[in-house]
Amino acid sequence: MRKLRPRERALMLLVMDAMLPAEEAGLPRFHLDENAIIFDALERSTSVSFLMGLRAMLATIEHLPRIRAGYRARFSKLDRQKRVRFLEELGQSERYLPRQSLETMKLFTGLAYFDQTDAREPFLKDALGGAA
Amino acid sequence: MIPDIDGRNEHAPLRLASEFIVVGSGPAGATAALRLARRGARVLILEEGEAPPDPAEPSALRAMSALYRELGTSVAFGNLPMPYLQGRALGGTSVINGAISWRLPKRVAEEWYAVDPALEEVLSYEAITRVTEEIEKELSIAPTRPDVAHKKNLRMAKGAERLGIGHRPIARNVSGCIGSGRCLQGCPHGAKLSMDRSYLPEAQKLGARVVSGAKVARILHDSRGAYGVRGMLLSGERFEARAAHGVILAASAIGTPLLLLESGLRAGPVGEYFSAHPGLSMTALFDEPIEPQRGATQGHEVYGFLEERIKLEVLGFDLGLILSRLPGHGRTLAENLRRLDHYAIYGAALRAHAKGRVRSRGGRAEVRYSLEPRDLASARRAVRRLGELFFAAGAREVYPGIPGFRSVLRSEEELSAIEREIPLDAKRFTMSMTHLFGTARIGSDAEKSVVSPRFEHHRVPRLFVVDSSVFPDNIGVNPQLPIMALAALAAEGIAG
Repeated sequence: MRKLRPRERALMLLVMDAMLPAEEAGLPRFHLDENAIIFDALERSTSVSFLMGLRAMLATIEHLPRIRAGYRARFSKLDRQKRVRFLEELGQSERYLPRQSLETMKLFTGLAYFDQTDAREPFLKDALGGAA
Repeated sequence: MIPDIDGRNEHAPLRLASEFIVVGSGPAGATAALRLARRGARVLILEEGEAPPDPAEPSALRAMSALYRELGTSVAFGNLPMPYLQGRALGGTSVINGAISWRLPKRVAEEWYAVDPALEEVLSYEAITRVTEEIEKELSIAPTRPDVAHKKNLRMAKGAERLGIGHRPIARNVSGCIGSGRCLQGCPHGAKLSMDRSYLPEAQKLGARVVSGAKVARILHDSRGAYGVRGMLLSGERFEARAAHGVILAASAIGTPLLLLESGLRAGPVGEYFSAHPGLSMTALFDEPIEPQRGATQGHEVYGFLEERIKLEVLGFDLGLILSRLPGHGRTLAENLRRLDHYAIYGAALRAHAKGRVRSRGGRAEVRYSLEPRDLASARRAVRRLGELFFAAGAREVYPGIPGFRSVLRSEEELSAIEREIPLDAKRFTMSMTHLFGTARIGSDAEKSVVSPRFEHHRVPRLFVVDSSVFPDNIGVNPQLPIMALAALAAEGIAG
């Protein structure tokens, strides 16, 4: 299937938002929606097998909290503070699949976040001082 | 650059003819095409990707979507699934690499000659050096200037100097670089002399025709040899191209064997002996600002560990990719992003012993590759070398990024724990591959190689392979310049 389902897009947005609660560090907030370019890029440019893997990763993150003490609910049903805390804890995991899922989401979080012009601006200047 | 034909805009089946067809417009294809055009040959260059956006995309996400094969998500499967990065654009991977230009090490050529002495007759080191020097001059290859190196590169130089290990500014194919740190998403200032800004336009001026958005699916061949190719344009229309003198494959160490296999050319070790340089990266925190997003993308390197099959280099990324390499998740990641200016990221490329395989699965490449235990030992040693380098460069904290191991190291003394506490388990590491070789090897024995020492297919006359597929093994250094040198020599032989 070449398209992410709407609920998969919504879940990925929740994951990226919890991965980087930027406004808590005084940085521009994630303000992407389900029409963000990241989804178009993923659907248009990656292989079907990668999208299948991505779905599996999202499912891993969605369902893991159900069997964790202190959560006992799907990721998407947790409040934001718990979603953030869950990802912070998952980052300590030594298990390959959860860790790889998290790192893949972290990569896309970075790409998606800095696709926002307001997120890039505080950091970007050329070596010679001009706007990049 | 502007292609002569844009496959996205062709809305009828296309038929083309030329003396030579070159499949792929990266360093190998562009070099071979230009060398043939200089000798008066009529050349048709077919590229699956499109012209890089002009002006360049400011967002890494959009640039990667336009320029990288599968958005950089292609994965080799084995004991550690590893992404491999390839360009898909006019100019191929030269558009998205760090412009690093190394000569082929003489000891590597000697390894090749030891295995197959016939190679020395056609690919003598003197001949390789001659064309290498020509390319260096044409592409303005020179060491990174201090005024564009900026702190991440200068810090590595300082650390390596303190350790007393071999290091130097990286030689790159750039002209007028201002150090915007965005080589990997297509130079925004046109300073990188990637193939779309150098050899391809020159070949066009000499009469070569360039077609973008043209994915070759089959090589046309009969008992007399190769006579053309056919495939699909981005518009969805079919195309067919006929070649009077030869078909030249330069579609990469993944694309070339795939094309051979899909064309029924399965004789010899097609797709076998896949080798690479797996790489890993490490991040460190400094007290003073480093500004990793500024300065030459990859401007300094440590060559002092080549005997250990390890090469260290500065890694420069766009902000989005830098973020993915900062420690932590959630609030920790956000806090670390706030002090992004204080981080540096260095990488290690390994000359791995492992050999993998490329196969066709329904017309798509399936890459299998598993690191050997000795490669994992090299990876672990590289983690230590990077740690030593960071501390010598003045880092306050180093983040090894190995699950189950200390998440942060604060002194050189702690580095000794790396060998003690990190098991040689592939899945402990996070690695990717960028340099791919060996899937249509050159050699005199048709059972052990795919093309002859003159780069011609052992069984199909007038079919040539000139890209890194022909390399008998990996080379331990960045291969762009050696790839171009071999393609230049191949073209000289093909032109006669």
